[in-house]
Amino acid sequence: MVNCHIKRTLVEEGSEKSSISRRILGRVPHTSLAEPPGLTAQDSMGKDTLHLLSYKGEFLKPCPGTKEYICCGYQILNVATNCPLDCSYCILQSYFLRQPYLRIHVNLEENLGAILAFIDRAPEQIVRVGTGEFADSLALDPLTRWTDILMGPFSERKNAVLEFKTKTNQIDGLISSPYRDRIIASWSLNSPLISATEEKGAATLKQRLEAARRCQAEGFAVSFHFDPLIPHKGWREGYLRTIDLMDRYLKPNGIIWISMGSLRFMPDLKPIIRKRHPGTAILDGEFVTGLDGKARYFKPIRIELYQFMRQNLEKWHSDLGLYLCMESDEIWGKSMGWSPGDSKGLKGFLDDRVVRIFK
Amino acid sequence: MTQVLYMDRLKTADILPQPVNLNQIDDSPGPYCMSYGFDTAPLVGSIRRIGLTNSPILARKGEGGGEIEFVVVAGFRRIKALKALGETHIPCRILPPETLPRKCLLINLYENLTIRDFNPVEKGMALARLLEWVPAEEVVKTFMPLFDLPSHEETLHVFVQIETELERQAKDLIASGDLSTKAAKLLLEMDSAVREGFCRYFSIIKFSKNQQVQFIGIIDDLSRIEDNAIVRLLDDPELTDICDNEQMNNPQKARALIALLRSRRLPHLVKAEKGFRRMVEKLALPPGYQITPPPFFEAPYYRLEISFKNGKDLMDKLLILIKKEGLVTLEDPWGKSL
Repeated sequence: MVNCHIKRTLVEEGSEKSSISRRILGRVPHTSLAEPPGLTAQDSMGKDTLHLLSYKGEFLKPCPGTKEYICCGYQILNVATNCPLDCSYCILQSYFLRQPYLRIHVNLEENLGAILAFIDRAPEQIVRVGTGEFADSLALDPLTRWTDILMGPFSERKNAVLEFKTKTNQIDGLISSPYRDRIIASWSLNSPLISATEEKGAATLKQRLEAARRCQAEGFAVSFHFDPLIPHKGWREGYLRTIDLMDRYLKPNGIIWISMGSLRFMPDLKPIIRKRHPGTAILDGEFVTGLDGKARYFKPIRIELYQFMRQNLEKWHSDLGLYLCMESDEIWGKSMGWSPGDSKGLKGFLDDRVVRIFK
Repeated sequence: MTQVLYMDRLKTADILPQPVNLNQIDDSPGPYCMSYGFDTAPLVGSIRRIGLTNSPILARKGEGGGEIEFVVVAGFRRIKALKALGETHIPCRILPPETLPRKCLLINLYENLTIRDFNPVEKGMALARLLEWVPAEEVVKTFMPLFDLPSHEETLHVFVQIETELERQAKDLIASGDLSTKAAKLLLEMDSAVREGFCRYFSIIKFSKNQQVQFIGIIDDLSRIEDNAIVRLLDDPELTDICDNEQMNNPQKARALIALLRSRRLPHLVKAEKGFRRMVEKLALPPGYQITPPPFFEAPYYRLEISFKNGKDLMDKLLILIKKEGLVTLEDPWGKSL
């Protein structure tokens, strides 16, 4: 499906020999072996171009949380940067403004040993790993087959989980794999209106939930992320509709966690959103400057959003592992009725969920 | 390159000045001019007192110039000043006809760089002219630092746009320091009618640089949220009444305009700020106490400041505070719901 949108492939010298590159080059029709051109394609961010390259940095890095807000202690597995989907609110638009194209780090397999060694170093520590921070975890999986590379090694480790976070229904790689243990299939969800108008290129809500249902039926643990929550006209009804759809499609007791976060962005993202998504209404909210310098909704608006979501999700099921992404102890207390206190506390809460779900 | 230019400069200095009729010089801003928004009065005064110390540099115009024979390479301001003094003939150095335009431009640039600062419009003029003869990469790397500008392609683009796209009114405001380049950058994203509307405000209200950016940003947001054209918003009587208010001075008007717009853009925050102020006022604390919320109410703690003379004074003031009725009711001003 995504292959159709790929118009060309740029391959860094020496990268064509890796098995990921060979696999991709065998499937992508228009291929040019060339050096990447200069900083162009900023408006489209080069979403129709694959750039196969060796990543020079560390593949596994902790999520760059800030000390002012409570972070879950997630580890990001940096398999790619940029994403073929084009969500108006996406932070990657400013992160990778000067690094366009869908950049696939083709030396992942070479570095897998070091990644696993990091996990094995402290067997008593749970390591929650995800590939969906700098790219959609599954949108390019039909080409890259990250699922083939990663699911086996993670499945064998009792102190790690690997979360594939997506807005697509590209689950063939997951389903065809023999591995289930320690693997979490995960979807970003939103209200029907936001999904339909602000998440360009993503699967519809129903398609995502249908994919989640299949994964549950196939024995996968699943998780969901309501992030970014965006107050808009009729937002209460909209988010209730999504929860209602979840009820129709899913078994709540197979859900390892559901995170919530509200729209937040560094100020430099605003002009980029205005330019790239001129019709969007996501910037109309009442934003103030947060303690980390990011624009966030005024505190009582965030509290109301989270309270509403918590109450309604808990009406559906009381044990969904609800947590907030990058919020303060105060907001936790006022909206969730409890607080992990700090990032260590939240990590502990989520690690316990891992232990419970993957006995 | 610097070395080559230095040798060229020596050659230029070797050219002997010769009298030129001012009527033969094109005094419109020609291809080498980098002067904008200047005041000739100080230069007129200086020439009147000590005469012309550095003769202007001219290049011959091509054929078809009619009576006008020369174009100014360097000394545009001096020629304006000499005209103002009623001179008819002035000593000028005339470059040989084979002098290339790029060289003329660099002569003017370096002559100006050594003796004065450039305002942002002039920087835009110089960079735009350089781009005609010098590759963009070289302009970014070599020339932008000479103007105290960061070597960024985006910055180059903004300054060139200031020169090539902004209307005279906006340029005048930038040159006089009444419109910041950051605000100008925002205006460049808008159409000329909108720019004209904003410039009307900036020419009568002395906003700080930060206030200018806020003013443009909030109006732009409100226009989208309220589905109202910016030009119409700028004509809103609520805003124009503040501009026309004779009871307020200029900084007060700027603050009042921002406060009004902020109350429309951030209604819940502004309501909370007012509510909190009311709560504190209700406590009726004597002078010397100050209770303030954190910026945007984002941090969890409010702040109490007490001015005191000594330990006894502090203790007395703390006792007054502790006994204050209603202190325990102080809370987040939004209550249970928005």
